[in-house]
Amino acid sequence: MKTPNIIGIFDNDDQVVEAIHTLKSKNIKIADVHAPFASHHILKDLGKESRIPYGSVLAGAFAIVATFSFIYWTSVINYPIVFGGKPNFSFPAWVVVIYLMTILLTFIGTVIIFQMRTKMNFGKKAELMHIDSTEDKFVMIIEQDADITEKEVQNIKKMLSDHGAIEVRMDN
Amino acid sequence: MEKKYWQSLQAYQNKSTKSLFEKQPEKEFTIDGLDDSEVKGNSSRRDFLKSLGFSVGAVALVSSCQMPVRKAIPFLNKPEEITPGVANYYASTFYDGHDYCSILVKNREGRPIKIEGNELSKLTYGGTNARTQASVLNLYDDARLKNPMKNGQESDWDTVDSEIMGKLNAFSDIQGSFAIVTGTLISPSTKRLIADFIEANPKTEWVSYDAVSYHAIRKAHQQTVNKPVIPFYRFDKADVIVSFGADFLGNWLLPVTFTKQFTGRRKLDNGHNSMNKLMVIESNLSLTGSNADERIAIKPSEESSLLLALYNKIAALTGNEQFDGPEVSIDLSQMAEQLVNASGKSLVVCGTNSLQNQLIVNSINRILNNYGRTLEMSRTINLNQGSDEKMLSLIDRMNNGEINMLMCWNTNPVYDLPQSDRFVEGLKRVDTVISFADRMDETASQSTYVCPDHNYLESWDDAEPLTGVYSITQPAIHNIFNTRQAQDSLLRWMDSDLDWRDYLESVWEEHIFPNQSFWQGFRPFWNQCKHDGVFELEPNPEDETITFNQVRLTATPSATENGFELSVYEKVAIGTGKHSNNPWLMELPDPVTKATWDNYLTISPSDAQSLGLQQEDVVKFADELELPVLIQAGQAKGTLGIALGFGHSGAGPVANGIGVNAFRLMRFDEGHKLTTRPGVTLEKTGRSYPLALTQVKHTMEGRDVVKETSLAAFLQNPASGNEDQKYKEKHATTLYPEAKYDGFHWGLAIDLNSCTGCGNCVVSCQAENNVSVVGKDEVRRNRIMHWIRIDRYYSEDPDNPKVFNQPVMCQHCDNAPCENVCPVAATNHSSEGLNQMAYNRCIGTKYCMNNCPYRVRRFNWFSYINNPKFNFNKNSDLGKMVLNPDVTVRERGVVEKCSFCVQRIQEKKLTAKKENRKLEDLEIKTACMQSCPGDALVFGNMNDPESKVSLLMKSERRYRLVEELHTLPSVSYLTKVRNTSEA
Amino acid sequence: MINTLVRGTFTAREKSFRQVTDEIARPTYSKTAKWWFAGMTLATLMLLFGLWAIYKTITVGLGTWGLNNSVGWGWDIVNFVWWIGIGHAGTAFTIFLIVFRARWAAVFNRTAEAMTVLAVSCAGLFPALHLGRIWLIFFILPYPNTRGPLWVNFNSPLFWDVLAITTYLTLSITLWYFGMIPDLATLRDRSTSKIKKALYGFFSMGWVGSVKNWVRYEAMMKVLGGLAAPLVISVHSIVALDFAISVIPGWHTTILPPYFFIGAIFSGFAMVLTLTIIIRKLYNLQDYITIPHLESITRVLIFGSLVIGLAYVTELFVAWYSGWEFEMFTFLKNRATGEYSSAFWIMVFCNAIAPQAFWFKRVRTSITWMVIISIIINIGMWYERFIIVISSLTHTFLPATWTSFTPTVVDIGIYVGTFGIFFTGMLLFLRYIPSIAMNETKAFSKKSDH
Repeated sequence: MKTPNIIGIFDNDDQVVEAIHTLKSKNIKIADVHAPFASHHILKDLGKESRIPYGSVLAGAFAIVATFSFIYWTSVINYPIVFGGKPNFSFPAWVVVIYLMTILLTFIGTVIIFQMRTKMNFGKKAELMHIDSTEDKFVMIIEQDADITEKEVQNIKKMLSDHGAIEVRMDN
Repeated sequence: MEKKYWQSLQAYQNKSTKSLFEKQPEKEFTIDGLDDSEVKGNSSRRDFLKSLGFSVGAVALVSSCQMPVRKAIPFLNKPEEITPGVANYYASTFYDGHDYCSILVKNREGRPIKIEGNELSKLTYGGTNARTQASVLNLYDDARLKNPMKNGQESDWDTVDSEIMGKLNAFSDIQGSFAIVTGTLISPSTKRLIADFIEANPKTEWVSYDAVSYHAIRKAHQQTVNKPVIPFYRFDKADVIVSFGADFLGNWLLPVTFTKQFTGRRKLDNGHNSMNKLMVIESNLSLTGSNADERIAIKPSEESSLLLALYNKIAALTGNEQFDGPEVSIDLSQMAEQLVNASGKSLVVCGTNSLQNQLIVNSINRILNNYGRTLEMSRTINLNQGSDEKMLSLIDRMNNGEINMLMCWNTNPVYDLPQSDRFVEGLKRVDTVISFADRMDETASQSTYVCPDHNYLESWDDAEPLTGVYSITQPAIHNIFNTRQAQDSLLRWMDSDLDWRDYLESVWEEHIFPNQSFWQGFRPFWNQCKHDGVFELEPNPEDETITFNQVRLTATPSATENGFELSVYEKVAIGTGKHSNNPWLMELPDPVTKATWDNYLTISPSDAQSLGLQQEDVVKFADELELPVLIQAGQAKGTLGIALGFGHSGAGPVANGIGVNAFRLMRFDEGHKLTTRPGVTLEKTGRSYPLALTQVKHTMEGRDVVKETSLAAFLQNPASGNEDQKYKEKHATTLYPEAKYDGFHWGLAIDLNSCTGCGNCVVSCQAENNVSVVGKDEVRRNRIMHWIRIDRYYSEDPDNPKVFNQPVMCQHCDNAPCENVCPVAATNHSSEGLNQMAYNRCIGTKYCMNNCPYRVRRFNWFSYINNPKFNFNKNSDLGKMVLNPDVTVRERGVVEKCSFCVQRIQEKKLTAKKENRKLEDLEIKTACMQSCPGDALVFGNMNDPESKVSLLMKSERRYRLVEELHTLPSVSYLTKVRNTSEA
Repeated sequence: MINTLVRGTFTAREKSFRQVTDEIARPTYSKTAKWWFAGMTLATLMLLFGLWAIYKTITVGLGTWGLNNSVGWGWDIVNFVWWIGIGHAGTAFTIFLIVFRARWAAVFNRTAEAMTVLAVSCAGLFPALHLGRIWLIFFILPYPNTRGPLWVNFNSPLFWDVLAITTYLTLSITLWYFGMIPDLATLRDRSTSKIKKALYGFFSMGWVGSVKNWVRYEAMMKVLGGLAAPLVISVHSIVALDFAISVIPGWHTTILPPYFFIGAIFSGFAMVLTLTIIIRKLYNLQDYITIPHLESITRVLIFGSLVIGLAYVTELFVAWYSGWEFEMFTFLKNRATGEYSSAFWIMVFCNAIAPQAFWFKRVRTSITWMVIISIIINIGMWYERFIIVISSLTHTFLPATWTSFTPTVVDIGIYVGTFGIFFTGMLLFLRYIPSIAMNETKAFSKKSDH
């Protein structure tokens, strides 16, 4: 059975940032923070980065190759038709299509990667730690290691309270 | 001679046995399983055609919704000459009392669908005019009578026949008088039939009468050469032509023939470096006037004094007797000089039905030594034999109650007599009035009996348009309705056993066959005549010699009355209004005004300005008539023009109620029907009436759309007027290499010097390609569907402009701007250089239309088929019969355009392939080219350096429209050359 | 440059996070206002008029429009380009916000994106309806078929156009929607009604504001914004290629792509200005949409106006300099002095002259003047498209084909109908979705964050 997490509720993101600093210095691992907005200090201080842009680049590269091949195949190999005296392989006219398809496919690819990474989807149930965490409250979640002692838990709780947490509780 | 006699005699003797010929003439065909009465004679073919072509076709058409679905009909007994999918052509003749044309009728699955010119004719040489082209649609006119009528009620032939025969007998017993009024008959057989009828009913009077009369020409010749003839005018032999109001390219006598002759002398290809010169003096701008090298606009009343002045000038130059005449303000000495210089090679014609004027014209032609040269007397024109005087006296007799029975045949006097009220009065005093009209026209509706005549495509007939030049009309379809040919009716009433076809054949056998010596037997002769459609006897050269009586020439001074001088004229499309119910003709833009569907009063720009009249303002004029005005450049100041053929009440739904009947404005003067009327005043009504013009901008805005030069300049430099072409061709480039065509590369050359702008190609194309009629409102919205547009531009003085005609169809550009922009690839380029349209693929973005520099693409804005809002031929099962099964009927929402008649290209290519030979040059003829009376269009393979089209395209006169766009059109134009002295 | 002017407090007054939510999200929980119902009724009537016109178009044919043989595109394409132009603002704001981190853009972003989605949808309706055979619209897609298979013509600007619009619509809907997710989650957690909770819950995709997701979210939004940046420039440029690729004088000009782009930004910003001023008033959002915010837009408008004025002059100059009779006729004669001169000078006045009033601080800060001039700009931009599309088509190379264009009631109906779509959509948006991004406002209103 999973051990319950330590939850600290904050009113102010400045306090969260300070708490992060303190906890980090004590080598206590912060599992997550729920914030009503993207506070860049929190994001920065938690040191998290996303690899989504790499996925986007791959999607874009695929889009360019795929689109060019498709147009070339349809217009030159499969069913060549003469339009307005132009050769079948009239590349300048294809640039626009390739460009647009690159944007579209990269775009769709990025969104799909995001969905997959965050596992967000329509109708997904929200696992809220605090009802106001999307409103004005900041929730700090600290996972308990299996071998953590009761004293250390109390210590963390105290630390959170000291940094201005309005409520400190254990998740069930 | 002896041999001939013997052969003829034998043929005569063996007529009944039919056994001595080596090759017995085949019956049209035989069908097993049909009973004798059906097989007998040639009605079997007609019955077969009827059942097959009409019924099955009708069922197929009715059950289809968007395009005529052609089902494969298995022939249990396939007639030899009909193969589904392959067209049959029958030589025939179009003659409606006004226009003559030798034609081929194209039949598909038993239905006539297209009229082509008969290239064997020495008169029309394969040309037609718009009215001839459109005549096929008259066959499928729903307004035609489907049964004989008695007192306005449908009846049957037995009743009508027995009653009429009873009356004929009854009146004969009391010595009653009969009269037959016909339009001019040029059928020798019919004339004999009438003679026979008169013989059987001696108190019969035959009056022939024309809606538009040239009676004065015959009368003048009666006085001057003692023969009441209209000479055969040879415009092809004339170097200098002066026309006083004779619209010989549009309406006058034999416009197709005259156009052939006239334009034949204006070709400057093949090293020709001379051309004729046309000077026109007229009041309304006519088609002829718009093709003139020089044109003088005059009031109609000035004509006689000008003619006399011209005569006097020529007489002075040639030392002939001069006559006193009124002073004239226009100096004609240059014209006289040119005419005299071209003595024997000049021609002066006049379209006015005035004896005085025609006498002067005769004298001018005489002292110019033109008789026997440009005026052929051994062959005279048999058209327009109507006698105005006889008609007037008939009306008198009718009103006196002297006529008991009147037959109106191919004429509609209630509609087209100037003072038809008196005729109507007279009709009331005639006991029995019989009309042979094919519809309840104005006269038919006042008749006791209407015995509807066949359409000419259902009839047997012959014609002799020129003395000794014969042509045959043969049916291309069994009669669709319960109609009967008028000749058959007469034979029936004469109690004759013969049917008309046998009668016709016997006339040919007895009276025409003996005059020739080439054919030994009548059967082969007759079959050849039917096959060719034409037959010609050698003229007798002795007839050319004439003795000329010089008569005293006079002229009336020009009218001094206040007000306008109004002259009525014939439109190239509508003519005398006989075919007004034909939507193709109604929608054909008038070559001069570019107006469709309407009747209007043409007024000169300066008069309109001084009266404060705007285009489309409705004015009240003579006798409380109301019409909108159309401001017409080239209209003589102080004159008005109004077209005939409108104001119908009984022509059918298409024509009824449009405009006013201008025949009422004509008048009789000294027994001559005159087309002019002085002293007409205009009164503004303050209202306006929309006109449907297909072109609203009439000048070229300084652009070299139509390139022009003068003959003098052309002789110095063949590229004159076209100097920039080479530069433009050289300097227009693209990113890509020019496309190469390995096999065919189709192209069309249009000689603007030969195009008169008559509009024949427009209708021909419409018939060939199932082009929809859209009606006045849509034309007004600039949504006409015609695949060929004839652009007409004016330059210089708006009161007497130079006129330019230019047919513009899809230019089939090799670098077509339209093709690049179609997202769905519905329009693309064929390997033979055609700009093709895949209608089924088109989704109707209209981008191609926008990007076409020539604006030749047409969009189907509505469904034009099976749509009561467009109640023309495509909305009726009958009217749909005219559709060409080789061409798709386009659906709503797709773009269409000229295809270079791709169906014709494919057909001929296949024929050549089957025969394992090369396609010959000029073997493929597009619809527009086939029947062009001016031979202005030449279609062919541009890859073949020897083809005619390639030769034309090498001409220095050749240019392409908007060359600098580098669209590389496959259509080229040749510079127009005007025969004027200025360089 | 623009940022510095609104540095300081992001909102007019200091707001707590809860205040931000309360005030911005007020329409979603309070009683629906009377004006909303009135507006909705009017918008629905317009929509019905449009539906009637569309019904006529599809059942009777394109003949119900004012088009003809020479003018194949009329009000349909004028309105299409006009709406597309308006649809540019949303994405432009998004780019300002995401890529350039222009804080002032945040207050307009949400509304502008809603406008974009609606305007692009309205715009997209026209090319669909202007097809002769709309039931075959799928022919435009290159899908395997039994006709050869016959593919599409990749050289056709119309195909590019379809692709550009589709891409743009996909992109703007996604950006708008993903931008909304944190706020939807807020609404989900605040709502008391079960239905609302369920609906907001469904669309918020289980968002809880986890920092892990915030990081991915920000990364994705940056990528999407980065992709949107070239697209926002190219969409209207590609629409311009519809004209520039053709051979018709007045269309065939290389200046069109940049000219269309700046015109689009110009008209889009003007429309945002008009609408946000109205929304600000109706929902008492003066504290959030401040005068300095609005002023930023007017500065963009001055810039746009100058560029457009320059484009007009350039077009005329090039037409003259080319020496080509057709170009000279179209620009100098037909447009500037001829049949279309009244429309031309209206266009010049509205787009190039009237916005110059924004040089004056008093005009720039006056709500009334801002509304008047922004509406003038939108009228002017409509005329600009009218001039480009119609005056070019009516008078092309051959004078015999010259004609004119008159719209019909169906043309007008469809245009009015798209307003119906736009306003019903906007009203629904304002009623159920906070018109300003709350999470962004919260982030930017934090002094410490910058």
